[in-house]
Amino acid sequence: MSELISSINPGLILILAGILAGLVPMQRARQALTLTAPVIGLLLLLAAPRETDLATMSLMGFDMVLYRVDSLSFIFGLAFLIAAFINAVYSLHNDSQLEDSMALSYMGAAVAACFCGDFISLFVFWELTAVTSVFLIFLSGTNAAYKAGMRYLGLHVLSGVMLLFGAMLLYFDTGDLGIRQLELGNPGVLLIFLALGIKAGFPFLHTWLADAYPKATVTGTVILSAFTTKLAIYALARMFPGEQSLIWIGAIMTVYPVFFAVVENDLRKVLSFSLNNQLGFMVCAIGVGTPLALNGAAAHAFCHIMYKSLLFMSMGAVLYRTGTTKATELGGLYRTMPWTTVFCLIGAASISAFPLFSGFVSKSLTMSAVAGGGFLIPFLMLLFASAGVLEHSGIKIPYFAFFGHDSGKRPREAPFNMLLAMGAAAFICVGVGLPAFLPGFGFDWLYSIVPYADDPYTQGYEPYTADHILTQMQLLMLAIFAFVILQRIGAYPPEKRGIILDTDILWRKVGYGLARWSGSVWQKAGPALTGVFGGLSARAFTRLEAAFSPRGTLARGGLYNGMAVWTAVLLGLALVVAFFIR
Amino acid sequence: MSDPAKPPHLSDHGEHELPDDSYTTPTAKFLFGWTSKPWTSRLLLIVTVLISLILIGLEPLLEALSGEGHHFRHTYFDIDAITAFHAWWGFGSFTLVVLAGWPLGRLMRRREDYYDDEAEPAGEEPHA
Repeated sequence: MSELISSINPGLILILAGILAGLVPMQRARQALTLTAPVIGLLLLLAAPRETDLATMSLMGFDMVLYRVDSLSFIFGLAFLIAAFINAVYSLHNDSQLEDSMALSYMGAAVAACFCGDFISLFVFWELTAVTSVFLIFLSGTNAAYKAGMRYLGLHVLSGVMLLFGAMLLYFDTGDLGIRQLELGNPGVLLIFLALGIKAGFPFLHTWLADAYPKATVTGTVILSAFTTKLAIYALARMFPGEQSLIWIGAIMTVYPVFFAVVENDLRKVLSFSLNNQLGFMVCAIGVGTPLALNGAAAHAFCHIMYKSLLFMSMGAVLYRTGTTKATELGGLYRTMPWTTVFCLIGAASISAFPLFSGFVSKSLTMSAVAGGGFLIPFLMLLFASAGVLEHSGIKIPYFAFFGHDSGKRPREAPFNMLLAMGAAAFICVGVGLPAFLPGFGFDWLYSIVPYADDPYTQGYEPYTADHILTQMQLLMLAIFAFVILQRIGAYPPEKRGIILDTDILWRKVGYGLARWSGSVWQKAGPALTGVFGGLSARAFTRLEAAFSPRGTLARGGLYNGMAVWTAVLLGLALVVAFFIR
Repeated sequence: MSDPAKPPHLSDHGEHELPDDSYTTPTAKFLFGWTSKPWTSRLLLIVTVLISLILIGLEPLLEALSGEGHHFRHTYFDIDAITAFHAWWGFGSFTLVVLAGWPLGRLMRRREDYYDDEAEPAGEEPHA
């Protein structure tokens, strides 16, 4: 019996709960499902033996490892399950069958993917995270959210296809489908690398993140922020530790979102850029690849899931109560939402890496590893980005929402379940960041669950040295001083309404415009072409447009967001065909 | 906002009065009431200047106290061995980012309906 229990991947429990939640109309029953599934998952994970294949399967001659726990997957799985529980509390007020179902399946897929030992099962859960999470974006119900969701789905399904195609190429080269450390240089490996890059928000592949996350539902954004990107970080740490190009990719990822965030008006979008910037720290650490650096990446991912959820939860509460997260419309909300303000400030202090908060103990590992590896320019870029994080997440978010210019809005405090969830996340942010007064307390606990806990550098690592505290406080305080000065002399750019262009303009304006132009040319030229072919193809185009265009039948609905379903079906079919032809 | 009895054209649109605090909860007043006082800005300036000066001054002091042959700071490169390097780097980075906001805003900011599909506000009805 115990063997059977220990062979169940905790993610499957969440997926099962998700399927049940989709069938159960009673809100109370769904609340019970969303709360108990992560707890059962946590118990299963804690009971699971490490470093052995706990569940295997053979399909079409491929050996699949469905459940295998080791120290790297453990910390990610643990963080995911804790986040799943906190998210369940945060969305208790929500009465949406579809959202509960999709959220649970999405979280379950991410958890399950962490424990996969082969590329086929990883691919299945990888795609499942994409097709379930997109509903959290669709469900906010606006046209903008629908289109952003479609762009999101397109990129993520592409990522899955590239992952599978790369894995197949790799399989035909080596005959091995097991997930393992890979070396760039083989086209298959490059495809896998790019597939992970899309999900991890590499430069130029990042646009989906700031595009889709701010348009999801109040609870959806909180859930989205924790899983997809950290799953990619996990996969990178698993397959590409020590890949030197990641140092530079990561360093660049930390820097450019800072500039987007400073001019952005939508505070949830600012947080999305900040998320991208934090991923850069982890990617950079994975690139360094020493045990200390990988510990830094994993510890940072753990802390990041907690404080980023916390920040998104506080902005979600603001959105829930006021209907907007635009900085131009907000300000002075501390008057009626003091507890949300307190929790937001704890999240802000954690992400800015103030001593006594979680970001400090996890980021120090990464910074020491990058500096210790002798990477001067990336080190300076990360330091620059640390000041940048303070600017957009540490100061801008709380200042423009809760303080600053009074908007005159006097919303009620967030619902109690939201406060409870924020309180839990804030507790972890503070608890993990405290000095180790006792063995196993504060950061010592975090350092004991990192992947290479027995690494001598990590064991001897002490974040709370006078040197560390002083230099970090110098960085942060002088940056705050800069803020006070710039604000006083009026050099701080005022928030303005508007959107900020990103590289996705390439396909959103130029690409779409080109498609529309060629469509209209074809429509005019087509009938004019004599002969059956011209007539037929023009008619086919009209039919296709009637079905697939944004004003077409499929986009109009009927079956739940018909276009999304059909896109997924068509891409799936193409996949199956490609799979068997080879 | 301020006085509901006063007709709008007689009000100064709140520009010269303190924000209305009649809805402010006691907790909020206790925790953050100080942030909306007229002296807040000056106080913040004085406090940050003081703390910054202390943090910068502390470094050479601790370095001197750590004794001959020992170093208080554990440095990796030449550049971060400069006294109070993190302070200068933090100040410079923050200023650069904020000042870059001016040209970047002019260059990259477009109307909210620039993309045909973003005209409507993201979000939902407030749940008051």
